[in-house]
Amino acid sequence: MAKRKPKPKPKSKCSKRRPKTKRRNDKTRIDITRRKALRTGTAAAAATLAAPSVLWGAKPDPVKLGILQPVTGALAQDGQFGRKSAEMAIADINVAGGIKSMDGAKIEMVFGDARSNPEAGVQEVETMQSEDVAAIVGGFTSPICLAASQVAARYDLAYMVDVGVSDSITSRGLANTFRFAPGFSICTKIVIENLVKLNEAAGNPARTIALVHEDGLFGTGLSDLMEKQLPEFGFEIVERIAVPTPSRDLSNVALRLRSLNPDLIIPSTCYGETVLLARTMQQQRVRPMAVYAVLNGAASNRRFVDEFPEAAEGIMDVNHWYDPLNEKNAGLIERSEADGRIYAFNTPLNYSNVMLVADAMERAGSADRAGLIAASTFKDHLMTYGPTKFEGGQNTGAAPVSTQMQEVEIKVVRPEEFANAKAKFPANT
Amino acid sequence: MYPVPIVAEAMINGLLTGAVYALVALGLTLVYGVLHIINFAHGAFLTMAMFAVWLGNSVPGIDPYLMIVPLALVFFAIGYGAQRLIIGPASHGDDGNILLVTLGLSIVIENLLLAVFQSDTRSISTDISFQVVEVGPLLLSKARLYGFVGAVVVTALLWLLLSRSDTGKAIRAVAKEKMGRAWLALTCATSLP
Repeated sequence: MAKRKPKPKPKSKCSKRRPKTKRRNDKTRIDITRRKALRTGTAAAAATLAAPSVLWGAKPDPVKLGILQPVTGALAQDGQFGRKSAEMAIADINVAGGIKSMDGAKIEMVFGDARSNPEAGVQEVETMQSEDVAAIVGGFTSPICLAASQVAARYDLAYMVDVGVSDSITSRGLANTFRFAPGFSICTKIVIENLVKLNEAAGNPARTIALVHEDGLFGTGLSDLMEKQLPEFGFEIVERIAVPTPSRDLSNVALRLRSLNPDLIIPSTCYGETVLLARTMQQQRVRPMAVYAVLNGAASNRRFVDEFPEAAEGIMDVNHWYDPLNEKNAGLIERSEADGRIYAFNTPLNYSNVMLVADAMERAGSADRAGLIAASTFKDHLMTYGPTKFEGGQNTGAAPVSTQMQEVEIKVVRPEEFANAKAKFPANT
Repeated sequence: MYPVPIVAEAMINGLLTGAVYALVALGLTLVYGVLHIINFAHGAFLTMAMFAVWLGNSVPGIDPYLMIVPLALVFFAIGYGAQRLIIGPASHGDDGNILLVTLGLSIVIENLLLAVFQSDTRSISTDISFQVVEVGPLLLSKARLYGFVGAVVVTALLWLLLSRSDTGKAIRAVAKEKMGRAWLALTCATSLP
């Protein structure tokens, strides 16, 4: 038989009592000190509660703002611009006192990396929702913006699109999605309007056009629209050339252009391909009357004009741009360049977006964000827009501008209210 | 259709580009023909060489053409080292193994380069990058022309080496008859005092 454990001896009443007595003594000691503490403590608490909140030193909880940008992957550079500019805007708002109508609550950034694909963007929105953000700004490219804003709509979470131009972003009837920047349809309207005006002002020298576009949805869609609408204004589309991204050699494209000799070339390609095309055209001595780019990756990009000024000279673009006559931009340009970053449109655009959301929160404290943004008439932005007015989520005051590279600088040439130079059209005679 | 000068220029562009690819293929064929090594890492070595040229051009600013000879020697050493220290010992002489080893080598090299240089497109810009030579109505890119000339010259030199020199004859002998070479080596070794 296994040895059983001996039954525990019942504690004698005496032994039970002894520790208790000891404890009682300690307890009394503790009791005395506790009482003292309670007394002083309550007095102190009462005094603090009675004091005004400023003296209290209590800080209101920070307001969380979600920033979604693709900082890794193919779109990393644009994502970095977007993130840094949002950080600058948040820092500036906090330094100026935070959201004053919420007791000076500071804005806290909740950053999500969209990893240049919509699935990752959606994941980040879910994370931001679980962290209780007040609104989300960003996305950059249309596919990410579409997916992320759709998910945010499920939680009634306000979503400010920064760049994505696709019309479907604001035409889905989602009450939470907003876009401060212009969309596709506004852009193409301005593209054609400005081209016609430029041509008329020069005596209508240009008639034939060659379209060179990136072979994805954006470039093809844009060229389809151009092909349909430009003939109505007397232009003839002589050729449509699709260019894959990336392209390493465009000498055959340049050859075709040389043989066709169009008056205008309209490229809507990404940064690398535009630079290669411009340089190959320079090499092959292809000189149309003008290169009139549309929402192009390089045609209004500082890096292009700094690295290859001869190839870039005279190239025009219709794109998002900052207001060169607004002094606030000068300060931001300095800060960006001190950080080693060129000032592209993403920076003033994201900065303005964050300021707009903060302004909406300021106007009523902590209520319904989407409703506030929809009613916004925000004036303190950095862009070349008319008065802010949201209709169905799209800011109808938004518009792109025409730029031209003149003497190693990017100048705004149309519309006149934001222009800081006159257009040279035709650029090559 | 397109005018004749345009078609002619497009064809010549194609030939010029093709000459460079032919030069790359020449190296691969030589390695296979002589050593029966299908070098899957050939492309990876080529990429390494191009990054070396890019580094030499972007940091100290050395002209790419000046780097041809020194880099050829450096990569000769790298190739020798790869054969002696990696491919040889790892494959134990079996052709199938060699395939796997060079494949593995290519994966390692490519990903190392990716980790160091990331996936941005790099380009080298020199004065002659976009200059042209005018041949009648045709405009031929200088850089492409130099590449073509270089490819033809190297091929000619290689042919001379293989057909006229003793080393060349030895290489061709090894390529044709592996067993015979082994016998010959054995006989020489045993007949030496």
